[in-house]
Amino acid sequence: MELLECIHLSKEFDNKKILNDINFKIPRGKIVGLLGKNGTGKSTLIKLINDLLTPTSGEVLINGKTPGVESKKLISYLPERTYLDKGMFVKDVVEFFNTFYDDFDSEKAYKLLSDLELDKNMKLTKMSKGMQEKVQLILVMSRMADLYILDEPLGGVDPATRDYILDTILSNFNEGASVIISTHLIADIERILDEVIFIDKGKIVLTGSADEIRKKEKTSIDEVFRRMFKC
Amino acid sequence: MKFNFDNERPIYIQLVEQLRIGILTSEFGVGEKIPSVRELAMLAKVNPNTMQKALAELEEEKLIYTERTNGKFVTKDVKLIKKIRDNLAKEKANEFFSSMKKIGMDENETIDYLRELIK
Amino acid sequence: MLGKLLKYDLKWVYKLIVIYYGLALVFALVGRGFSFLDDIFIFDFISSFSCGVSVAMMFNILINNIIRIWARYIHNVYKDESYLTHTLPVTKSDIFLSKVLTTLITMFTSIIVIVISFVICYWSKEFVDFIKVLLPDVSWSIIITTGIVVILEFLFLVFIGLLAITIGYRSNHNKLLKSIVSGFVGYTISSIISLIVLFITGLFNKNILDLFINMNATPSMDILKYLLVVAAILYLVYIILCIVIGNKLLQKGVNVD
Repeated sequence: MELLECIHLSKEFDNKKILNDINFKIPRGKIVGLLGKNGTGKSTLIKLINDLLTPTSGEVLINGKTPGVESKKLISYLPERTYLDKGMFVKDVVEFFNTFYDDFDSEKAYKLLSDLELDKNMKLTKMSKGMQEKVQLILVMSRMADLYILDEPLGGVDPATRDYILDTILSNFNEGASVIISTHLIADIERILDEVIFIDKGKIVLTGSADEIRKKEKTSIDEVFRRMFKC
Repeated sequence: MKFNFDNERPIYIQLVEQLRIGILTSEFGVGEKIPSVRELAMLAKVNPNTMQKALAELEEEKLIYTERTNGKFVTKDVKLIKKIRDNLAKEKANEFFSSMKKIGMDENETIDYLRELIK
Repeated sequence: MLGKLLKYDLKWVYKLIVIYYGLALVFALVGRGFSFLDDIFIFDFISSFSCGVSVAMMFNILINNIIRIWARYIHNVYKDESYLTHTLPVTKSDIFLSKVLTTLITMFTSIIVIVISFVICYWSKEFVDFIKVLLPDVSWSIIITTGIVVILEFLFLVFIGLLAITIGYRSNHNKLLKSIVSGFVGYTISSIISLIVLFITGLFNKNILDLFINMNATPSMDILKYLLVVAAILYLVYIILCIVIGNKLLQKGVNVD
């Protein structure tokens, strides 16, 4: 059974098609780049997978099931916005994750927090947006999930942190798990991708193995992307 | 061992090249155990699947072999390593000669020039 | 999982209102305390002033309790935090039920605190006598039934709010505005239904029909009690409807920005 499968998935808002007949499968053990410009439907697709929206037609299957309690046990999702209760302290949110997710490893979370010099006794309101985003990434990567979905994990971070984030992603996803990384900053991450899904105007325009595409086009994924979506 | 990549060519091919050089330069010595796929992937900051693919390629070349429970090792076949080094050396030398040719020096002139240079 | 959700919901709602609980009780105690002291102006003043503040706090408790439940619902289920709430391995039913239980529990404790503070401030033989003079025919059972109806009315207010938010936030635009409009529409509909039900019961009871027809009719105590019981039943039905419909709607999925 595929880890994730989208079948004829479409989503409309006010009769406008944001996603139009999306079909793809993601097997286990892959790092997949969901690549597209801003506002092309990447986040809508991710929200549909995470039960934050309901499809207009078609369906999303996670391990063969539509989004629900079972799928949420499998998916560790990093949204593009800060989603924690800002009145909480860092250690409270670690406890929160520990309470709700059976696969959460709080020791790992505390280790990653100290690696990034984030104080567990700090209140989230006292943290900058960048710090809050790091806390969220740590929480998400401290789960032993089957599917990690990271929506723009590299937006607005400095290069050193970017490297740390990529390391964290690489070293923390377990065998048999898959990672979906949505981004428009392709050059930074293309080296770690197995497969890419190019999405534009709500449609999938290219999918394939990253190395195959490099071989065929004789250039980087970033360059392929730039050529394809030249303004 | 340090890895460097450009994004223009398939990553696994670049990994194969650099790992091969690692073996030729004894970074991974004859018969030595090499790190696990995961460790190597972390070292190179690449996807473990890609590293796996590169190692499979080296295994095909017989430069490394797998011991069922112990992991992967560099070949003990010194002759093979030498042969691969020779191949690579030939390739590099040919590249060098052809680039010298481009600036107007034939093979004999190039060899004389090199002799002069290392005196 | 419901218990875990409930823990965090309660924490959030109580975070602010426990301060008002404390203030209401402290000012009530101060007010009562000074009333035992010598009968001089300044003590009298402090006493009635403190009791006044305590009463203000009682209103604060009630209003903040209601608003915080709504705010929690919006923040937790529809705004930024919803990205976490809806990706927890819990059912949408549990999410909704947790808000319902939070309402019942916090409103219950708020009412207890309000009653206790009020009793501390004002309860005395003179007060009871005063009530007896003011409302000579009123029995205890009527006062208690009235109390229950008032409490149910407030609970209905909270639950119709939750339902209205659930409706409003399903749409793509102007979610808050649509919630408010839905709330008012729902409340109006419920009022009309109440009147209709009352009128129908009036068809079987001449005294109630009189209230509709005769402007000068004053209800007897028995009729009043009867009306209160009808009101209580109606509110209970509305509350259950709000919870059932709200829960059903949330099951259908959310539409997060």
